[in-house]
Amino acid sequence: MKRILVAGVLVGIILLTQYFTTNVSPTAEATFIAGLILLGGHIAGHLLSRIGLPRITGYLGLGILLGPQSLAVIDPETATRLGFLKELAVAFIALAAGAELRLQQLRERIGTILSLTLSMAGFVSVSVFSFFFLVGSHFLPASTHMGEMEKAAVAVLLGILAVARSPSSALAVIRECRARGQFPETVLGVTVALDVLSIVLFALGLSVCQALVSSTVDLRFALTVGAELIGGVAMGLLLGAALAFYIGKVPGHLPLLLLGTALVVTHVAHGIADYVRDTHELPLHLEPLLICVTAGFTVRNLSAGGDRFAEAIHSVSLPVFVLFFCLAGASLDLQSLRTTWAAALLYVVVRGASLFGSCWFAARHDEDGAWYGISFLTQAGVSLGLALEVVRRFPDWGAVFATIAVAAISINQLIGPVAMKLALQSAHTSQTRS
Amino acid sequence: MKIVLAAILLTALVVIGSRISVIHLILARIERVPGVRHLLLTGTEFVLVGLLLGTHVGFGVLDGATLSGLAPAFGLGLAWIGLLFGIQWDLRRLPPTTRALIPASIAQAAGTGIFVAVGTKALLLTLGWSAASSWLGALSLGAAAAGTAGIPDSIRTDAGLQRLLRTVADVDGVVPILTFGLVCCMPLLHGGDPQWWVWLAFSVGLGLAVGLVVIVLGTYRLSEDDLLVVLFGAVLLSGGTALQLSLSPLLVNAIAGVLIANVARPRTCAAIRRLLLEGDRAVYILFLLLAGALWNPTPDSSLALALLYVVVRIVGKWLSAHWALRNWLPKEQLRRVGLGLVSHDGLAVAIAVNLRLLTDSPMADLVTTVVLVGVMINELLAPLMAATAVTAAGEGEVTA
Repeated sequence: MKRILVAGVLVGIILLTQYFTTNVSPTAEATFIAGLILLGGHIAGHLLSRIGLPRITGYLGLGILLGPQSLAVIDPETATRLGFLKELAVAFIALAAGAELRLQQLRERIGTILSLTLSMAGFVSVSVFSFFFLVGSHFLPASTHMGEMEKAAVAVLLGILAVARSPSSALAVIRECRARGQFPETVLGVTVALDVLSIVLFALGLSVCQALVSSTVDLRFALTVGAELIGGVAMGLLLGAALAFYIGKVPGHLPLLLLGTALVVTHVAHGIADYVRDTHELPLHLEPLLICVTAGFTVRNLSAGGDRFAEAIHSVSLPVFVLFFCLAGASLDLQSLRTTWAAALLYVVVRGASLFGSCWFAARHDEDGAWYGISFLTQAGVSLGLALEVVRRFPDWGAVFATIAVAAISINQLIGPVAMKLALQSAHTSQTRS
Repeated sequence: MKIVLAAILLTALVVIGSRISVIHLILARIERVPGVRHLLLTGTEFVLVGLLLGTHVGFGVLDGATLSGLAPAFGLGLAWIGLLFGIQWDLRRLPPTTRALIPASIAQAAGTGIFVAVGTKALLLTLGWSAASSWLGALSLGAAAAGTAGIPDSIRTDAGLQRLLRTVADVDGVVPILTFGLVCCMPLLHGGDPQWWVWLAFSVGLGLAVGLVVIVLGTYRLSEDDLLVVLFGAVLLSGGTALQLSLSPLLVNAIAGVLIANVARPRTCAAIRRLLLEGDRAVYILFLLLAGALWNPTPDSSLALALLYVVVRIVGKWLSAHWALRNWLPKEQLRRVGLGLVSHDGLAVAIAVNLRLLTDSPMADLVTTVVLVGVMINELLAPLMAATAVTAAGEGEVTA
């Protein structure tokens, strides 16, 4: 009841501001929206957690409510401006995800992690590709205007996209449930591994698609992605070493340093991409997520300050999560669901079923084998980035793929955290305290 | 090219930062040389780093787009400073000495503010600024000049005069916050519609509403993480709303802070105060960096004006402290007590940035330049002057 009173006060402040605003400055508006998101997200998260749903669903829901397609408190311009904050949050969350991966525990679980990763990567991508290639192609919007090869290309990319995960969502739900034990550690390890693997597969997939639609083989893109991966890991190791050195020498202000690091990594990665594109016409894009996961992993596992690093990240992670997921909710393209709901729904169902099947098979000797499948539904950042890359590379039919992808990712983003929370609370080797 | 510079800068900051402890070791060796130790690491050097990162004279790492994306940090910084000031005013637990010193503290701050504002107004009119602009500049600089940071840590002991000066410095922030809050309500920034008192009512109402939100949410048993979300949310919301309404986030949050300090559950209040204090230094450094990046150092006359501002402020502090504290100190201590109140506080920087965010006018640029340069010069002079005042009072040998 008291929280609803606070929500009423917040609505009053919104109305007052909209009526009397005299200084329509981007600075003021962005500050106001950020505050509204944090307070509103806190309330929405708590209200949903009272009925057993994860708080992240509340953050996403609030984002959808405030976003351009609902109340438009966050208009498209503000959403774009705050997109910078979202990128910063992705890098920070990646640092946090890296810090969660502990080498000792990973070693103990390496067999399960590898079998789950390879089984899912293989089975899920083949299942989704087969379905859309053999059965589902006429569900694609504008399928009548597409040639057979183009439909095959869309099916290939949908298959590969199905492998991508959302480490940020996984980490947020694990943190919220305060989950400990083999199950959450395995889930996070597999999630990060699959996200990296999806980038490699996507690069290869794009080259295959190029060959399918234009009968030419362009291996340059695949080579570029190889350079991206090696460059990203190398930069991450260097950054991790620098952070570890700093943490060992200087006490205090670590959360601020880490937020600053996330900012600089994002900037430097984008800057290098711009520079290489302008000077060498190469689509080299160092993934901030990969750099930061590697850096976080390096500091946590290969330095003496690993625990301090993890503590510092933990101390400021909740505000970052609330901001990130509300903004993610605001940027979900629910309009695309109207035109592609059938294809998107089929994608979600086939992907979910194949995820469940592959996990059950790979972890059939594990006492929690039945719960792995529903822990990997969520998709977000990297998946969206990959979808946009397809539009850029294949302007003729890329939009068809991107529309389905965005719609399906929106559905997965909404149901994924709920399913994952259920899995964390039900698995035998997971201890939760929420 | 910019990216290479950014990468080099990142590496340099990491290395320099990691060497801070080494710098402290070196400082420990050279601090015996009179006057040297206060010339390094005063805190305002971050303004210069920000200036170098900005676009006006620096490398452009923090360009317009980046600063626009980092916009919430400005509102956060302003609101944080205001809330931290307000939350220290728990009226039920105010020590009797502090309570008794409130009128004298406010009098010396107000005296300094008026002295600086009158001098600035006259000077700006002489230099050809319009009446409205000169009012804005004079009142903003007067407000910025009024506050005091207190005795620098480097010469701090617990002797009588120093305790008194610290108390005065803790209290006199009321004057700059209230003065600048009122400046933001005046027709200068709103064009007279609605009336100034309506904007003042909005400031007070908004502060009370935000305070109420924190108090009500604080009645739940919140984890440390949740409290941080509520705290960040409250300061950003109030800061953003105040900026959108062209009000002062400092005043709005100070009001919220006072309400929280006096009404919230003691456990919540203590936790919020601790979080604010823990983050204070980090937020302040971030704020100084961004203030430096935002700073457009207007050329020619601004440096001379800044020097003049420093001199007028010191004279103002000296005279008004002498007058306001006449019933508190013996004559021989009164003569130099004003020198102990020269140190400039973060509120001055906050006021300059606040004005710059509310109006993108040449006057805002001028005020920012004068305040930032003034604060930096003051940071160098204040410890030496405070040491003079303290030594003259016979409170031991203090080496500046």
